Amino acid sequence: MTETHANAGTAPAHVVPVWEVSPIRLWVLARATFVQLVRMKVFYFLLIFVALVLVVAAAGLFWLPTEHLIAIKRWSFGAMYLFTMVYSISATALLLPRDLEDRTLYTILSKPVPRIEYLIGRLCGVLLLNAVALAAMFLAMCLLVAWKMPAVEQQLVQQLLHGAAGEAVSLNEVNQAKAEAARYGLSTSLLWAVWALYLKASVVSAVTLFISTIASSSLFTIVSSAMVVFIGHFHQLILDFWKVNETGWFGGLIGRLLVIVFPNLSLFDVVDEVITGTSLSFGAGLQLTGMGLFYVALFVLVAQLVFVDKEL
Amino acid sequence: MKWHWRELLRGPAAVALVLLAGGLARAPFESKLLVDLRKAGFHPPLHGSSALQEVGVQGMMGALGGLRYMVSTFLTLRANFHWEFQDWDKVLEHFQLVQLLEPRNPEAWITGAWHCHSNAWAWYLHDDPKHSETTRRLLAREWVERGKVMLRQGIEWNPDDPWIYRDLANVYRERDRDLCQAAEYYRLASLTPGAPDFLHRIYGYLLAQCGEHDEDAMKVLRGIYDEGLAVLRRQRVLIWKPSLIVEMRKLEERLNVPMEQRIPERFDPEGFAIATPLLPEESLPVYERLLEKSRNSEVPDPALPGIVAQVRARIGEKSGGS
Repeated sequence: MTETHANAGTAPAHVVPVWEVSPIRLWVLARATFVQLVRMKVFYFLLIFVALVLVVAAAGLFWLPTEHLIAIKRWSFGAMYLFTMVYSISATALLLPRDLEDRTLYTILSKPVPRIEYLIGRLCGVLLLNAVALAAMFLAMCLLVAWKMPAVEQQLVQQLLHGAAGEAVSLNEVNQAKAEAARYGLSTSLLWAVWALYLKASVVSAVTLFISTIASSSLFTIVSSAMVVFIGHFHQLILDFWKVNETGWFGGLIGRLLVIVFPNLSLFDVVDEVITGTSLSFGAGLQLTGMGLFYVALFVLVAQLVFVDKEL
Repeated sequence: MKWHWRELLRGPAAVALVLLAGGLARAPFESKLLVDLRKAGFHPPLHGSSALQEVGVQGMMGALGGLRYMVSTFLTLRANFHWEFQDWDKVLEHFQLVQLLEPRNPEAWITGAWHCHSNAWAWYLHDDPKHSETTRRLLAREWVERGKVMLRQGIEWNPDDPWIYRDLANVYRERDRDLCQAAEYYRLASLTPGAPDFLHRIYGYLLAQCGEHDEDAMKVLRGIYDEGLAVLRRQRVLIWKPSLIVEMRKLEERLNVPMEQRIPERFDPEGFAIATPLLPEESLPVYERLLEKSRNSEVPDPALPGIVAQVRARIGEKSGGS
């Protein structure tokens, strides 16, 4: 019996299936990427973050006590946003060119590792880095808000007593003032806000990964991804602009194409409202999660479509 | 080389197809999510005086992306800096930008308006070195109006926030001396979800003090009094405020309520509960102070001299009896 007959109906041992994904290999790739990024000393940013938020918390920059709490949360979320956006773009943009440069890519792909697995593994590494950094920053912010909360509560009660102009204030009213302070303190909606930020960063990472499969340099990838992030915040504007200016069918077509092809990143901007006390429902949070995962899957899929045929 | 339709499933054509299909597939879900988020108070639709201005505002929001809230904090700090130098136009300009960036934040409206109707108003009235007294009064008035406009805009964006109504009511009360209008805004504040009890109480007081709605005021204050009576009977706890009793007695006097229907001086159903927080000895200084204030005001309260005389007579009877 010849070898051809013996292997009839099965793929040869050296041929790697294009779409097969192994969780263990994914974890190995993600962990390696995470370690590689950590070695770039990215977590030093956390020290800057803590210093910034401590300054905001300690300095009496605002007149109203509730504004003080809002400011701590705003600056924290602002720093988180900057961190996740910058790292999602730059870390992902560096991965492929760096692997090509130091030839790690060839070593990995010479093993039975499908290209899709390589892409997802690398992306998961970046997402893991974002998750750890965001969790640390979120925890620091929560500790500061919890530390400031009793003082703010006290200030609000003082304001209530002052506002009552010497009249006795009932316990119920004091509790209402405390509830008002709690609205600006810690809530489960803050978890949704940080989750929305993480989802947005994940979508940006996936888009950057896709661009890096086409691009020939990291610089091009970074600039193009930044442009996508920029356009991603303009969905409503693009639609309205063509509506207002009546640029004709061609303008309308271009506008619609941009809206269809580019991810709507402004959808994930729920932080501002959450900070000022609006709560995000579980259903809306789940929908946001679904949308984020859909975008990530879509851009990983198109990245694979390009990368699978790419000559390395 | 022969082209095959399967080529469509590879390379740039496949990427374009997948992106288009993905975009079309997500569109309905995205629209629904946006509608749900807007209903919950997220992604507020933007208002501008013209469609083009709205596009400009959206452009700014888009350009700021997720940093909108951070920029807004910077602008607030910048406004505080201009406040230190009494540059009121700049303060107003910065707060208008803050309100543009976060219209759903009541604090943005309250603080911006407070700078107008209180800080700028007081500065023009008392500290402005450049203008004559008449001009200063006019300018002060102008800033009060700006504060009121800002608060009304804030109410349009945040109809469920009691504090913007409360601030607008206080502007009417303290700057315009329009107690009826102030009472109306306190009423609206007390109707918002989760509004503190004292807003309803102050609505009653202001309605009583404005002098045009005595009967309505009596109904409101009587309601609060009756609630307190129920609590007193149930829990043996006295929750009436002295002002409630003071205002009710003034109303009883003005409305000529028969003596037997008036609130009792002491209410002692089981031998230990005091119905009114004010005994005649305690209430006399309060009424005297009110009378003094009333004499100095433009519209003196006609009920107060009678009440003071009655309380004095009661104290005299007591001391004479003992």
